[in-house]
Amino acid sequence: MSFRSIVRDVRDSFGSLSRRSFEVRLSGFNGRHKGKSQVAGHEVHEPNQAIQQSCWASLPPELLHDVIRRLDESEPTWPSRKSVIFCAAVCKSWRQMCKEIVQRPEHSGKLTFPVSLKQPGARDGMIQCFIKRDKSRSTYHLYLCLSPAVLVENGKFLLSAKKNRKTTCTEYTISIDAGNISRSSSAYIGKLRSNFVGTNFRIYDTQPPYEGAALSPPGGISRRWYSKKVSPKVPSGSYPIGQVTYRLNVLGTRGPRRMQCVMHSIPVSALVPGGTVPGQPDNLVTRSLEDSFRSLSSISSYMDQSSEFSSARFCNITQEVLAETDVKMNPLVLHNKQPRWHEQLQCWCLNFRGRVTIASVKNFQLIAATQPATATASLATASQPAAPGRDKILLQFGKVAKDTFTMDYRYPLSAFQAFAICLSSFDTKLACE
Amino acid sequence: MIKLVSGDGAEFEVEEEVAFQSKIIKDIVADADDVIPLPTVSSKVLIQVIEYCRKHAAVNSFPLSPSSSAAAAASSSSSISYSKPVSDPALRAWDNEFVKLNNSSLFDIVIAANYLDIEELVDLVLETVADRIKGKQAQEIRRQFNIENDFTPEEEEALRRENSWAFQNN
Repeated sequence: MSFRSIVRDVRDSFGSLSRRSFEVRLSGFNGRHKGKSQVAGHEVHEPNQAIQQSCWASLPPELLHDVIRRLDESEPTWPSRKSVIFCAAVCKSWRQMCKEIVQRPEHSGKLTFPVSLKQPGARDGMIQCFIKRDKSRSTYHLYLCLSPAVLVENGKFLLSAKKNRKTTCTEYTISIDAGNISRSSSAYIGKLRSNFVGTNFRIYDTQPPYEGAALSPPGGISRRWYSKKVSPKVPSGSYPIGQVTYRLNVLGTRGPRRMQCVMHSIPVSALVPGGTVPGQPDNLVTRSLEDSFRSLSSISSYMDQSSEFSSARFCNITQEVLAETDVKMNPLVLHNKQPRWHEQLQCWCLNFRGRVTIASVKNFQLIAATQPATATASLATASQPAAPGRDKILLQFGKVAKDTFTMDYRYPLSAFQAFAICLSSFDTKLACE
Repeated sequence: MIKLVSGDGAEFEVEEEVAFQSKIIKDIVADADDVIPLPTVSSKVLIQVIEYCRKHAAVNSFPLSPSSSAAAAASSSSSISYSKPVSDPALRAWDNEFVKLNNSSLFDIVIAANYLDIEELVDLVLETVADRIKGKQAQEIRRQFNIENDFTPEEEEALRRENSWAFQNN
């Protein structure tokens, strides 16, 4: 055990880990030089290519942790933030360390790995994005704003979508690839599907929102079984995670729309102070990475033990289990904030605080709906969001140029969910307008 | 004087304030004439570590002027970098020269510094390493730091997708 780790017993487990692997190397070395002194010090200094070659791979975890934390802190913004992704692709132990250090967007407000697109946005403050529409190609691209300006040409690409008209519905395929937007691509992460008249949309995720989620039944056959048999490699699950409904407009064609979103993967209790969104994915698209990293979980359990937050983590797990049962009973319901009629301007107005500059029927702000009094008795106290939070805007979307729209979202919505909701606003609503 | 003995048997006599840059030596030294064996540190590495300690002991032994200690206090309160910033620009320049070494030598030094608990030196090397990693792709990092790629082909496919997403901008 190294001296430093004796002094700092918090990091004790790291020291013993690295020390152990060091000794294994040495004993292997000694075995090839029988008859020589077994004192480690004498052996270490002799030229040995094997030790030299892989030295940085045997960096004690506490030091690797330090290096990656420095990187995480010194590269907070895109495009330089990609350094963290490169680091996570070096080897398994580096990846595990990066995943430990990089916080989820709800805590850091930062998007790093593609998986963060399916994790809830920042708890304090909006994550500001913009959408570029390409009418000729029927594509939509979502970017992260890199500056507070409303009209910017550069951003970090987040998600893409392609509109496909079908005989009975319209489908938007959502992908993490800017160019290849198709369901057969491994970059496919979900879709939005409308009914014929465009008043009702369902959001589907390729990954289940929580354990034991029901798959949408494709003609009576279990999709889980079906997809496994056809192509076991590409996960082609399709889990309904939300629904967007536009109501008929009583004021004729010129009035504001009324929209409602039911988020099946988010319990209403997520908005209560200390509430959580259950079943967030740790990896995007493939499960294979996640599985293979289980073998490395020893490092993470050491981390947990030494972490002062370990008790807090345990609480989170308990809370997640509660939240999972809650999400089936009480999904989060959002509706658009009703604009007020401006007499002087003769139009419907919403305050977007400068983030939206052009009036459009597509513009909206979503807030949590008031819970009906019929909420289940046992969850009634927990599921009633505090009154001040009720008017908090969770997603806003609006026009800033001919084919450019801003999209600002926050916890508990993810970028993927927010993008899907915004896509529904692009779709022409035959029955509403 | 304190006598340090490297793993390969070389002896180095250093002044107390130089040796005491290592917190662990400071903690274990009972006598001024102690002999301290360092079996895992080679003489080549120990020479470099002593060079660093000698320089820092010399600079640290001068009391800081009020203005520079205020600057040190101000910079240590910034949360972005949690390494202890060396306030003296001349010393900082010397440090920057000191770490102009290949990655293999840096590794040996950081392991020794970690073992001897010389916090500033550990911070200096790890900061240098973090800087060298910045902006480099995984393959280049592996090459420069001699790290083996232990991902399976399926995992690599997923990493490629993550990588290409990282590159996609307008």
